[in-house]
Amino acid sequence: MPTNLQHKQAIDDLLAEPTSRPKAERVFELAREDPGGAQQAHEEVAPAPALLPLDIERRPFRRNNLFMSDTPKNIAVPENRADLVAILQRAADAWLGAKAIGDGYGFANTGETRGYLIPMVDKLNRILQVDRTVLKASVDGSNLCQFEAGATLGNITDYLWKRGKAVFNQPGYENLTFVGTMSSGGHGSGSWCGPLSEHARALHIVSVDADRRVVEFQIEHSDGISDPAKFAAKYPGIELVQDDRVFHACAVSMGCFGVIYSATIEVRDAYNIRETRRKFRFSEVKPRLGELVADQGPGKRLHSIEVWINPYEVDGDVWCVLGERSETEDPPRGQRAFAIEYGGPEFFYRLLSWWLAQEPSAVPVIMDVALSATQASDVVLTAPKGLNFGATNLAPVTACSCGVPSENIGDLADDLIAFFQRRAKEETAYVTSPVGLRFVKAAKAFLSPAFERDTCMIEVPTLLGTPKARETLKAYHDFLFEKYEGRPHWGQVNDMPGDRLATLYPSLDVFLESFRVLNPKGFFDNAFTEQMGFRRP
Amino acid sequence: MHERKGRHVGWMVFGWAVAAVGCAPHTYTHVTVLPSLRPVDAARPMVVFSQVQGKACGSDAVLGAIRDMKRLNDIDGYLEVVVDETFTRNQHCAQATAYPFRYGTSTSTPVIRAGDEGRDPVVVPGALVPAPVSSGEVPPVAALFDCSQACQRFAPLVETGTVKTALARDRCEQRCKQADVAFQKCIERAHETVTAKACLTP
Repeated sequence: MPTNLQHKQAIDDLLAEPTSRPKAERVFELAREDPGGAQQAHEEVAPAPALLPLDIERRPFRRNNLFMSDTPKNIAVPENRADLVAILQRAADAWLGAKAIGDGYGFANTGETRGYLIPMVDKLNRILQVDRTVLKASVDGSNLCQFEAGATLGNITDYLWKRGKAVFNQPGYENLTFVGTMSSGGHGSGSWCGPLSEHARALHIVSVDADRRVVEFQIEHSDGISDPAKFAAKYPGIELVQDDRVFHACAVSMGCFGVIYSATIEVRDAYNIRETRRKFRFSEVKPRLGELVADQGPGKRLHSIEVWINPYEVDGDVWCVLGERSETEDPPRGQRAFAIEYGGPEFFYRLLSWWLAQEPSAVPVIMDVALSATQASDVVLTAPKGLNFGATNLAPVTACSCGVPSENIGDLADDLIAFFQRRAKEETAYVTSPVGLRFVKAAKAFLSPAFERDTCMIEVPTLLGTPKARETLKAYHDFLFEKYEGRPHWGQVNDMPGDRLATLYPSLDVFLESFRVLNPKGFFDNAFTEQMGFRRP
Repeated sequence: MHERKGRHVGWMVFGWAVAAVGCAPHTYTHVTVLPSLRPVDAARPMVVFSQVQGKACGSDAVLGAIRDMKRLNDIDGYLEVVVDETFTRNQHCAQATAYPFRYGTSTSTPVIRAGDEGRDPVVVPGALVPAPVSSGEVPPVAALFDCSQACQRFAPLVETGTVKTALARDRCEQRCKQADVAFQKCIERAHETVTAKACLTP
């Protein structure tokens, strides 16, 4: 067997004299004898080229933030559960992968597919009746809400509000689907409350088994809400799986286990939110952060806080807006500030774009003005509105977010501010939207960015067209990973290499167990699973 | 899915057919039929799976369609390949269809590959040759423990339901493949629930 040295010598010889036939023969002779060694030696000299590029047509596909370089072979919109089953069976029969998406508001590659793309939001968006006849006698069905996977937060909260109910917490945009957001580790704000995955009680998943047959499961906690005997009698075609290991794998699984048809979540009585947003020097807020985070939750002063930081100095200081929210029984009153209520995309985006092109060093003061315009005091809103970001959702951004331990978040934020300032100074690379700190309780879902640690999600929305935006977001992720074990939000821009997974997620093996079992033949694999190496031996 | 043994297929391209009839002016098609994409050892048993299809348009439409079609892992090649090209005034498209096959008798469904073809070299073993008769001087190599088979039998003893049984099988295989000899012996001996569950204690 040729040695690595022999391979390399032959490669070097041919590189030195690329027209020499004997030297080419030597390289090929060694490669024939030892293909693996030849591959390794070539890789060591220089990375091998990707597949030979072909001149074939690519038709890019876009749906809101979801972008694919090529349009999927089929875009199928199921009208009901039977339709969904039939679509997946067609995909399986044709050896085509499938991916369900909400409305494509995620920024990540988790929704990519070359096979069947299944947008759920168009038709599968109904609120369902919880079937109380199959619940355990001890379960209170009045605080459960079941809906199809395409139901948006807006659909769900509208339905609940009319019935005097509300979700425990929610992300800041009403057009996101609960299931899509939950599946990618999405969350609201509140250090007392876990991400959406922690509110789920049952997930109805449609998948493809090892024999290419479509199968249906209802996944619940080990002490789940359904009575197994009643469930089996009423739904013989759906296998009830009550197992924490499977449930915590499925709850944040990025669509890799199949298509979630419906979710059942726990809800609560309706409530209003009193909100105050005020601008401070970050150095004033930093020493208060520990107390502010501890003072959230039922029976405490606050429901949640958010801190939006302009990481660049203005008048010699770094400024932020602290948003404090508390639950109240007061009826709605007042109005949010102009920039939250109406300050969406147009004027701010155009202004900032112009200045980015003309004079990037003006970005800090423009952001400062924008932050100042979000201040308002003692505004009372319904919970669905109070937990919503407002019109700023409409800004054309690309976003990434990273979860870090919430302990000592003040020092970490200082470090991050210095990082963004360095990039601005040394590379003229700015973030063009305030950086947000939102707090989330530790989660049990194995791949949740908040898995087993109280977490601060640090969000970096960046206006489209910002120079070096992707590089900045990648550098930001790398910085937080290397210094603080930062975990990426799966629904946002994520360039993380898969070899970091095992370091960040101590229960990765348990997650992969369910991945192999529920998606045994790769019908729900895609660019994301490749990037993460889920199927790597 | 069905098995075919002793199937006669050559590895050379043996023919192609052309149909130059189109439905509309300026459109014509060209059909190529190949026995397989690479040499096939007709003497070996094989399992042939249902058709797979790839499509592409552009100057390299045929190559693109074949690359798209070759999206299955754990198979040894593609049989009865039909490449159907369509030419219009502005566009050249191709559709490749074939039957994937695997040598042997395992009917295990191939895995769909999500990414591009791998760059690692593929080792294609030659035709099987009969094992040399032992002279008796060299002890025969002990057969490797078949974790897959043992765990398939073991899992239903400790769990019920397809998912939980599959999970039990997966966990069993992961542990078995770590060359945990005590575990291997235990699952081999277990023939009912009590003795099987005893194997799961660390």
